[in-house]
Amino acid sequence: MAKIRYVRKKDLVWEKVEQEVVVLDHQAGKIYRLNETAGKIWSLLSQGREIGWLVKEIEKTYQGKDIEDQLEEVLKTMEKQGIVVAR
Amino acid sequence: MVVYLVEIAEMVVVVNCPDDLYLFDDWKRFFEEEWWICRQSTGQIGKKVDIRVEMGGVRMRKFKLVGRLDDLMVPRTVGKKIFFDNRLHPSWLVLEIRQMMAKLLADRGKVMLHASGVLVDDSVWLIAGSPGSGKSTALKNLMPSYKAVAEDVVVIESSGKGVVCCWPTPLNLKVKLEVENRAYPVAGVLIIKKGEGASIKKLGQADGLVVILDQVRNYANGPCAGKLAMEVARCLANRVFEVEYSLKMSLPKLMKKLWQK
Repeated sequence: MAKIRYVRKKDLVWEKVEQEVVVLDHQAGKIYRLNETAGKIWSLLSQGREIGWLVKEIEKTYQGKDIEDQLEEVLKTMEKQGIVVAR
Repeated sequence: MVVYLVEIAEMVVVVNCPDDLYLFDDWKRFFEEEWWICRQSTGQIGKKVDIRVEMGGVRMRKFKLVGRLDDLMVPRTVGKKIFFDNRLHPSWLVLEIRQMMAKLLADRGKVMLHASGVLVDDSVWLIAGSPGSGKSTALKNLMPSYKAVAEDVVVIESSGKGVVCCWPTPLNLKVKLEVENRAYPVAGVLIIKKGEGASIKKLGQADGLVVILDQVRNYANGPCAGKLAMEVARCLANRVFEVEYSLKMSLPKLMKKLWQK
């Protein structure tokens, strides 16, 4: 079975400012503020990425237990908000 | 409670959008004067006239709201026709036209922002805030001392190199603007907040960016407009100030602290 790959939704506009990433979904008329960690994940999603690859990248910066679970939770939240698409 | 509209007025108007987008006073005049005269002249409530609005090939989107808000009726569209009741306020149509204008403006590299503005030393300070925050009151409070450039909606463009310019409000219905119709550089943005104190606080860049995007998001309904909105917000993000003041006090006096620096 093919693994799920996460990618940013098309046509979003965003800006990295201070430690955050601000995302404008002009179609939905919504604005999202991503904190430093979420912003880091966001920056890794320029192409479709599998969770395993993302975990390795995140572990280069952040150490801790359950990184995969936490990452999955963040990605699911982003997917629910409609700014990330799972393929 | 939702009250469906009575199809009393039906009028067709085909207007080609002028190249100069700032000639929309024609619209104001039409809806404030000609349309009412036309209706009064018939002397009949049941008289039907068609309304069709087309600007630069952009058609009115379908109204989502059909119902009654306060004492004003909201129009609805069927195909290319828009229906009003006999108590239509021109503002409703103006709101709809503004949405079409937002699209046209985006095509021309401009974006609309929900803000008023005053002229201070040939630059404009935009006045924004959440609904009910006292934006209109703030503008009136400032107007004896400063000329109003925009009321409620302002047209913004990025001139590159971090310079943002604004144009006076098209389709302005409330405040008489006594300024030349041209682009003015934007000096900064004031976020008005009603309160008991009198303070001016500069917002952080991220907060400033979000606040500006919040004022523009309803008009930035396309990829092009979205990019423009972000560009403008990026340029202005470090020039956003939260102004808390009580309605009793003189806003020009408070603003001198910022504007005379």
